[in-house]
Amino acid sequence: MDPRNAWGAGGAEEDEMGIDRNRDFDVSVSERIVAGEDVGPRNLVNLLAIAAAPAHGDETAGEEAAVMAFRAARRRLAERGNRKPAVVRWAALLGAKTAAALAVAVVATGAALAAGTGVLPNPFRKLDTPPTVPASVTSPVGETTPDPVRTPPVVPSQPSGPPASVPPSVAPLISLPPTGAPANGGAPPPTVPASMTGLCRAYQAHEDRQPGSAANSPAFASLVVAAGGADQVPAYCAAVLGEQLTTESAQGSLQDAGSVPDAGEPGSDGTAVDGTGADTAAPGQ
Amino acid sequence: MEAADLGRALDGARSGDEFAFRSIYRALQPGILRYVRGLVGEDAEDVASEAWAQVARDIGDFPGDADGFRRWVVTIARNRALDHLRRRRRRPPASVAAAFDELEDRASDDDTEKRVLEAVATNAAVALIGSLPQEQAEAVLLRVVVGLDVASVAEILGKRPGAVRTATHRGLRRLADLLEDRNGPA
Repeated sequence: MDPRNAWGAGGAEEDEMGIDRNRDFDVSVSERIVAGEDVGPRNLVNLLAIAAAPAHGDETAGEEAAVMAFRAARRRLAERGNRKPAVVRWAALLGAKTAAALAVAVVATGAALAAGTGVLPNPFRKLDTPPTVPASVTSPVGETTPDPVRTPPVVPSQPSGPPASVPPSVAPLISLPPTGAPANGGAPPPTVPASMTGLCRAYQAHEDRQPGSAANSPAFASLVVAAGGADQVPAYCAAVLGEQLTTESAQGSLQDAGSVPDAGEPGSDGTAVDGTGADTAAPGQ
Repeated sequence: MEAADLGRALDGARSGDEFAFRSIYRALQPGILRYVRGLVGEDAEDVASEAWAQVARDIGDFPGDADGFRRWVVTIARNRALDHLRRRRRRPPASVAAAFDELEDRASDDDTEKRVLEAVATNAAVALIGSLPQEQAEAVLLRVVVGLDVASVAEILGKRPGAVRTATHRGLRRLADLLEDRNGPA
């Protein structure tokens, strides 16, 4: 008898079970059975064939429930794409113009970024102070609408408090020097904070590398707020950087801000025991 | 479902195609359900439903290929099944005798009845496999019923491929003994 076919895998367990009569049923036979070869005890082969028989109708009875879950997930995904920071949702309640000015004021305090971490600044405190950015920033093309909070341009003041939640990556972005001459007509407001110009450049560079991802980055939260929503950033930056700006894209979409429960991360439930992948089944080995 | 077909269906489902998702469900659910049934017994359908709800929720963000997706779905089902067992503290006692009775009752000339009996027989065969020690039951179910290769099973179970082969072998040996003791030599 080939020594490799001795009970290497078995030992006492098999001996206890008294299966000496199957001495030739070793691990290589098992591998061949699994591979679908017609070897091994007939009863066993039949049993496995029954267990692996084609699907029965009632086994897929949960299909509609699964599809309902799929639809619900798609809806949440669509909503997640439209999600805006809490500050923007506050803004929707206050009216676009007022809110946009407030939002920028909030940005100047560095607090807006806290919205991304669930800390909502109190916008009403800022009502006591003049908006620090003129309406021309907050509504680059909507000049015909009277602006109840229009005030003389004021250079943004220094942050009144520590921007506790500002990601480290923001600082270098803000310090990017603004470049590029404004195009005719669509000139960016003279009082756009330099930080916005820098952020816009960084945003566009980010979008060039990974389209669609920049708006979700906390580094651009203040830009999103200033623009009035993630989908407004390109138009906003176009104005800031002196490019053409279309009227529609600039008109506010502050109304449809919504939140969505977080979907779990894929793979969070997966195992990742790796490094064994090279060892595949080899029938009959 | 071949990997290429599954890959196409996966792409479709990731981009929101409901029919692609349905085809994935139909392809994978029977094996998933049988595997879960071997682990948890009669609560298998509820547990599999939980797993599919999770798959439906997260499939849009799943980054891998078809084979990886298959492992991912099985792993989700396994985790839901193990959660279920933890809540219930232990695996249900598999009734080997009942499984045998159902296996032996499967002779009929009527087509409808035949299909029903085939389903019963499949469940009984899965229950018999499920009566093995869990490590052996999982190895046999995942390889024979779900149709995964050794490397995939090893990854899912967190074992080395050699250990998976050993568990498979021990499981098949034990099944052969159960059948032989019951029916006499094949």
